[in-house]
Amino acid sequence: MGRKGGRSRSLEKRTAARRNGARGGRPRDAERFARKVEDVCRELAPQVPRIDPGDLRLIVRCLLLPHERRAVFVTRRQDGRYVF
Amino acid sequence: MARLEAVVIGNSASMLNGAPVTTQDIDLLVRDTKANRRKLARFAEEIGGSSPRRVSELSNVEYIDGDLAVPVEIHFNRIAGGLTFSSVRSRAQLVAVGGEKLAVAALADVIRSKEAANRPKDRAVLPILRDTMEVKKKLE
Repeated sequence: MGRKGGRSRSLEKRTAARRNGARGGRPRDAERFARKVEDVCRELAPQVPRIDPGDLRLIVRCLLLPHERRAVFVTRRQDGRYVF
Repeated sequence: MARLEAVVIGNSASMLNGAPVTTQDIDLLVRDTKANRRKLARFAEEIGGSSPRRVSELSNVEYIDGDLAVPVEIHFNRIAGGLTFSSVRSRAQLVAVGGEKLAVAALADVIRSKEAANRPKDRAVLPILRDTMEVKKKLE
């Protein structure tokens, strides 16, 4: 009778289907970005052995971010609260 | 109104160049002209601050403390390391921030000025800036 997609009663399957469906089956941007940072670090680490791996991850992460996400400026609103 | 002739320098420039650092002010290198002084006074008004004031009697650096959470420090014409406005701007990169395009000093110029200034806060941040520069070159 073919696949019964979406009719699964398993909680895990329903959760996964909902999660994948919400993203159109694609990985979340954050996951994709984290994987890209890991890949670049793995490739670069042997070339820059002097740099601490934690620092390298921070540097690569910042360099891969688009410019508008590199700097966060905090501003004070008229009501006195601070916002990013 | 024509745009203010300014280049973002200091650690704000480091951040926009991708260095994982933070800062407590926004440093601008501005060409010292009457028109730019007028624009700075207007900018100060817009951010709810008073006119730019000198950091000290001996200093050419001025600051604006307005409604932004951090003060804006203004350096006129040159910064440490023998860097002039023209030379820094010639190597600066235009970066889009919040619908505006800012000229941001090259990381090499930020490093050079911090090496020359050689204050404790400069020495503290130089290793991570040099590492960022090294990684950035490898990625290019």
